Parts: sequence; structure tokens; C-alpha cells
Amino acid sequence: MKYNSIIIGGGLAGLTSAIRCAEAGLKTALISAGDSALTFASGSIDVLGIRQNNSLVQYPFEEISHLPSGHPYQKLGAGQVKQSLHFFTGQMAKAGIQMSSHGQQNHSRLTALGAIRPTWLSQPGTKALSIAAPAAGLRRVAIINIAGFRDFQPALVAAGMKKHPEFAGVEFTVADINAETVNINARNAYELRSLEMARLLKRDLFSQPKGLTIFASAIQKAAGNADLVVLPSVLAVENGNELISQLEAHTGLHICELATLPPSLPGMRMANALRQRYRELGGLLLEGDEVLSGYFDNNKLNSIKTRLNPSMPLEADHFILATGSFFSRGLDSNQSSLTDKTFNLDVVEAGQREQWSNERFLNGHQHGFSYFGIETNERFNPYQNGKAITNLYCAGGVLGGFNPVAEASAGGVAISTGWFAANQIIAQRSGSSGTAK
Amino acid sequence: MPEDELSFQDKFITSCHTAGIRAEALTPKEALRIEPNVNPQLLGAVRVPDGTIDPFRLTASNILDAEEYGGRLMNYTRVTGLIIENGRVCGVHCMNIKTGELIDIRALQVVNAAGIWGQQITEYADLSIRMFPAKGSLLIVDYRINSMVINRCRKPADADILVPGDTISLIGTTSEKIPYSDIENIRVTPNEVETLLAEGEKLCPIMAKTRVLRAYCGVRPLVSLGDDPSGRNISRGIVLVDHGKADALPGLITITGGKLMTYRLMAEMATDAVAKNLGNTRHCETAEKPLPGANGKNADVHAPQVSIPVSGSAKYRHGERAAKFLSDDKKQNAIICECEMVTRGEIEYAVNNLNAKDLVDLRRRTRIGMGPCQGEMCSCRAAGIVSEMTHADNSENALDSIGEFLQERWKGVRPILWGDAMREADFSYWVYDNLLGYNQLQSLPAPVSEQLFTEQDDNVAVEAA
Repeated sequence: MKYNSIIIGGGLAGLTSAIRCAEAGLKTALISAGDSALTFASGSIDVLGIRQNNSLVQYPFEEISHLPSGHPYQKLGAGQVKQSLHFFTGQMAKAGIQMSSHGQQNHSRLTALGAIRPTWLSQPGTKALSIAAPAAGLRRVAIINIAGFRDFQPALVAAGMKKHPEFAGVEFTVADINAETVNINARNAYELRSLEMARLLKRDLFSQPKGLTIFASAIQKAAGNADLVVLPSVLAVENGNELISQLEAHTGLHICELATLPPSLPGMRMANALRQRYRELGGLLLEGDEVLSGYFDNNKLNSIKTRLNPSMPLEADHFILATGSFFSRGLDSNQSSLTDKTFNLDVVEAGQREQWSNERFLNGHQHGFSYFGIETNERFNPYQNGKAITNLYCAGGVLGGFNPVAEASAGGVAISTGWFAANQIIAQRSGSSGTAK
Repeated sequence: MPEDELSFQDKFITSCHTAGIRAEALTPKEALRIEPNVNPQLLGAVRVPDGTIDPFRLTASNILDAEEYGGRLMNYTRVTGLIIENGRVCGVHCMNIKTGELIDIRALQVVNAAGIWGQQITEYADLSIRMFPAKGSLLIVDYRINSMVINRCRKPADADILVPGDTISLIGTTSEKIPYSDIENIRVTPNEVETLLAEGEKLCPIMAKTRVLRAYCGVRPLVSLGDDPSGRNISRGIVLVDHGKADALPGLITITGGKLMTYRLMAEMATDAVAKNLGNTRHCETAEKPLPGANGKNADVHAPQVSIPVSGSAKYRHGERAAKFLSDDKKQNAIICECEMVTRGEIEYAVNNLNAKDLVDLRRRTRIGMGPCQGEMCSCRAAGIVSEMTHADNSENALDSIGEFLQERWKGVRPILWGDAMREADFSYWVYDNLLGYNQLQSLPAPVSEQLFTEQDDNVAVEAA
């Protein structure tokens, strides 16, 4: 089987590039080993939110020029990053999720520990707070948990919010809606994960004619006259944003859902929407498969072997490697070195193991490992033994030279590099087919 | 092992018999049948009645026992000086290292059982007990790869013992002399990790394929006698000094040296010395009475709603005391730490009954966060429970203790940061800093242990106060 493009990795970078390729009419295959980092992502898209000195970035696109030269954004420039995000927002809208931004500015999202973290695009159910004045208009906040759900701690959300001086004057209410009210019938309701809770709520509560009304009145009772009601994101995977807006209409309250401890439903919702969009465009999705090896010839990748079809190599004109970082198994390490697990491409110089990380785990200083990844040229072609592979592109977390967590840039880098790689394939193809005819 | 001298085996068996310890030579085949993961290249084996204890349970049981007899534990309280009046030790000056509060405690007899810190305590009275700090490092590997203790049959050396413990196995230890001034700042070095892995594989080759969970180190409180650079040949003998007799400073007794094996006897010797000074002639009964949780092997803990792995773990950790929290209440039975099967009920019991005031304490009483994920999910869950239990005004402490807890876990992960440990760390970093934005909450104060000994740093000192 020969494809125009094969994308390896089904996370944000892989899905974005696959959609871009499929939309341009390329015969595209996407190989995805399993759930991606979106399963524990916030469901918002961070572009660039935090500087090295820990201060927050208000205008992410302006900040791009201040980044070090090896950074993926520097290879793209602010204009292309913006275009890619515009493309992404359009695709998400077509998949049924209207992402919102504050124009050129970042906004803040609330986290399940009450932190505020800068981001650029958010889903409707995740209320965007102003980055300069996150507490604007808030006097009373109600944080409500559902049926003693383990993976959300309302008291800690309140404690975290209180740490921000802006929330000093805000009054917090912490409450629980009990299992009987939401009518869920589980072996032990206190042991559910967010996804299981959503399934049971769908089955036992929201499928009832009065389910929404029952839940809305429980919220009203618990929240009183709060200006903002904060709920864990456990209500629904697929149509969660619509459900939140229906609840807002029923209660007359302002409701915000927060991604819980993993799995994160807003992240999964985004992954599902993108997969659906890709399929609609005619793309082939090979799920649960993994690339075992690649056949390289003359600085080009010709074909790959996968675990499920080892005897039938998949060929393509172009490949995109979007296998993610260590946790996604894109990168691996042993006692003394790093490797790209898929093709053994050249990675950034890692130095001694003691320099791979910081002595403090969460202190705002950067961990070297988060910066590690594959080295590429200006076109995001990786190198193998010092030679660029010209029909292979890297995108997202597998790239080196940026720190997705510390600088709050994971989503933006994934989308823009995935989009850019796809565009290059599209451009070369139209170029070559033009000359061939 | 082929590289060890087989002649040592006979010497070992003879010495065991002389000391009254059973020792039985096994053929390699017999040894492999008992412990299938042992290196098949072994030349021979000796079976001895070795065993293991759970140091966490032992410590918690001792504290509980002391409290039930009317004693009081003052955790996080550091002795800053001795109260000496009219040539007699009458108590100690202390500081609560969490609040900075200064406390004086007066007593008729003070026992210095501060381990390696015992030297500092005697220095407060210008006495000299010279400790010989020998650092030892260990690795914890995921899964139990052996069912009984496996030792190299040779003179004690680095990484010659593989000990099974609860859900893990651990390989140890190294031994390295360190200056006394370094006892607060010890860490596992890459060289030690390499040695432990290389030697560990010789004991059980499967170690090469087993994930290392973490590394840790401690300091042996040996009393200095002679000049042995490794500390291996220093006697682990018990040293009891009644400073009234030895230094004409009554009111102070030092008990040191020894090993965990002899800890109870050491306590008895020290207590007898105290009793004698106080004119109490009752004989010590501790050796005859079981510790809390060890009363009656057959005391069944009835919890039909709890699965056997959960109730089994609870009983393993708390013995018959598990009955205090295993119940038929669904909320109490919810598993909070899935790696180690810790329920909400067990957490509440530890907070209410075992002095667990924060997550770091809670880990030592219940094993939360000690499994393969090193606290990824359970730290937030448990912090939420602690905050709920200790009322709203404590939520900020509970929130802060998540960072402290994860930092304490990180200390053990960092020396072995590669492979699966790297994957796990990367995942934790994403969850806590990206998804949860933990770093945006604050610049965390340094942990307690670091605050105390960096007095030159004003900011840190202010935070500690």
C-alpha cells in the first residue's frame, strides 16, 4: 500500500497534520499506538504563557521573537504560528467545538488545584478568566464536587485560588452533590474515575427525562447565589460543552468545568473531535498499531514496518513523526543516553545524567529532560548520523529545543509544527505533480 | 558466585554453628528451586534462618505503644540544647521545626538516642561521643523478585544483599565514610547506582530487566573505634554511656551503636539504666509483650465488603488494628492509593490515631505513594482528605504538602532517572505543572529538613519561622 503521507503518532501534532494532509486531498494514513497526551491535557491550547523568569506572558505572538534560536517557534515565525492556530480553530469548529480566545492576548484557565495558568484557546465549558484580572466580577465562587468523586478536591481548589492575591476578597463555598441525588448505581461511587463517572451519569441520570432538571436544581441548591460555579469535568465526554451551556440556561448560573486528575475529559473530547474530523475527510486511521522500523535509502524514508502488519511494509512519499515525548514513548532513555525510539534519529545533546533534571521537582526551574528531543533543520527534517532525512518531518513533543511544560507552549508547538510539516508535503506534492504533468 | 571463594562457605557455616545459628549447605539446584531468580551460575548456597521486618510498621507500632502507655511523641521537634543546672542535665531546649516555636522540656532523665545526631547532642554538654558516619545507598526495584533474603556468601562488600519487602525488593548497600559535617546533605551518586545495579545483577540477573523505582541512602550511626576507611569492620556493638558515671554529668544517658536487629535490647538497656537512676526496680516486660497490631495472629478482621488484596494489605500494615478502619462503609473503603491498596479509612485512621499530620507522615504510616507511580494520583486525593478532616483552615497546608511530598519522592527518583522512571517522571511533571499548574501557585518554601540547616539564608529562615 502506498500513501502520499503517513503520520506516526495520534496526538495533537499528528492529528493536526493528518487533517491538514487529508483536507488537501492527500492519501493519508495515521498510525496511532493508543491514547495520547490529550488524555491528560487541560482541553485548552497553550501557545506561549510563561517566561524563563516565571512571569506570565500576556501577548504570546509578540513574545515569540524573544525565544532562543533553536526553538520550534523561531523556525516558523509568529505569522505561521498564528495561521496554524487559525486553521486548527476552524477544524475544531467543523468538528463541533467552538474554541474561544481573547484575540492576541492569553487568558487564564483555572486548574483542579486552584492555580491559574495562561493559555490561548479554550473550550466553551472552560471559562476563560482575564489574564490581568482573573478575579474580575467574582465575589462568590462555589466549588462543587459530585458524589464524593476521588479525583477532584474542592477544598484544595479553594485553597489554591486563595493564594492569588486577586482572589483575596472572594468568598468560597465548597459543597458536594451526593450520589443519591445524581442517582448513579455503581459498585462503589467513591472509586470512579472521571470517564466512568461520565458514563454512569449518562446511563443513570442524563438519560432520564428529568435528569438535567434534577441536576440543575442540585447545583442551584449547593451553589446559592455564586457568581461562578466550578465543577469537575465529569459530566460528559462528547457533548460536555453543550451540557454545561444547558445547565447554565437551567440554573441561570455561570458554570465552569475543570479538567480533573487524568483522564481529562476536555482533552479526550478534543482528541475525539479531531479523530472524527480526520475520518470525515477520508483519512485512514490505524489505531493500536506501532511502527517497528523504517527502511531508509539515500537520505529518504521509503517504508515502515508496523507491529500489526510486519510482513507488509507501508510506503509513502512523505512521513511525519509525531510520537511525543518520553511518556508517549516517542523518546526513550537509558543510563547514559537518549534515543528516538522509532527510527534512532539524532537527538539533542543531553550531557551527564545529573544534568537531565533539576534537584527540585516543581520549583519553576526547567528540567533538562523536558527540553530534550529530536534535532531538526529549518524545515523540521531530522538527521540520522548527521544527514538530514528529506522526506521525514518531526512535529510536537518529539522535537527538542523547547520546554512545553515550563513555558506553557505544548499545544501551540504541536499544532504549528504539525501544520507546517503537512504544508511542506502539500507544497512539494503540488510542485512535483505540476512538473510531472 | 564464581568470583567468590567457595572456601568461604565452609568458614561461614562453621562460624554460624559456633554462634548457634542454623546453617545448611544447599546444592545450586536446591537453591534455584527455592529462589528461581537467583543467578544460575551459583557454585553453592547456604540456608540460614534470615528474615525481614517492615521498618515503617515497626516504627509506627513502637510509637503507638509508647503513646498507649502514656508517652508523648513530639514529632518535627529538634533538640537545640541541653538544660544543665547545678551540674545536672534537667531537660532539653527544643524548636518545632514546622512552626519555629521554642519549647523547653524538663525531665529527671534524658536519653540521647539520636543515632548519628547523638554526637551533636553530647556536644551540647561539651562531651564527646565520636560518631563514624558511614553512608549506605540502596535501590528499590519494582516487584518482588525474591521471596527470602539473598546474600552473597563472602566478606561484607557493596551490594551483597537483596531483601524482599512488601511489594518490592531492594538491593544494598554501599558503604562509604563521609565527614560528619555532611550527614545532612547525603545523596546517592551515579557511581553508587552503577555499582548496585552491576552487583545486583550478579545476585539475580532479572534485575537488569526490572524497573528501578528509586534510590535512597542513610547514615550508619557507628561509634568510632580505630581507623577503618570503609566502616565495614567497625563493630555494630551496643554502646551505653551513663554520663553521670562516665563524665560526672548526671541526668543524661546515651545509647548508640547497635543495629536494628538489637534495637529493642538497646531500648531495654537504656531504660534499665534510667530506671536504676530513678530508683525503679521493676523488670522490663517489653520483650514479652507484643506491639500494637501484633496481638494474636488469629484475630480476624471482618470486612466482607473489602476485597482480599485490600484487607490483606491493611492487615499486613496494621495487624489486628486494621479492624479500626476496615468497615462496610463504601466511602471508607474507597481506594485512594491504588498501587499500595490504601483506603480512605486507613488514611483517616492514620491521621486520627497515628500522628500523620501531612502527606509525608501519611506515607510512612500507610505506604501511600510508595508504589510504581510514586504518588501521582494519591497525593492530591490524600491531601483532599487530610484537608477535609482537619478543617478548612488547613487546606493551604494540605495543598503545600503535595509539593513537599512529591519533592521527597523526586529525591529518590532522580538518581535513577532513565527508562520507565523517566517516563513516569515526565508524566508526573506534565500532570502537576501543566494540567494542574502547581508551580503557578507559589514558589514553594524549601522542605523542613533543608530550612533548618541553612541558617545563613534569611528568606528561608523567615519562612521557617
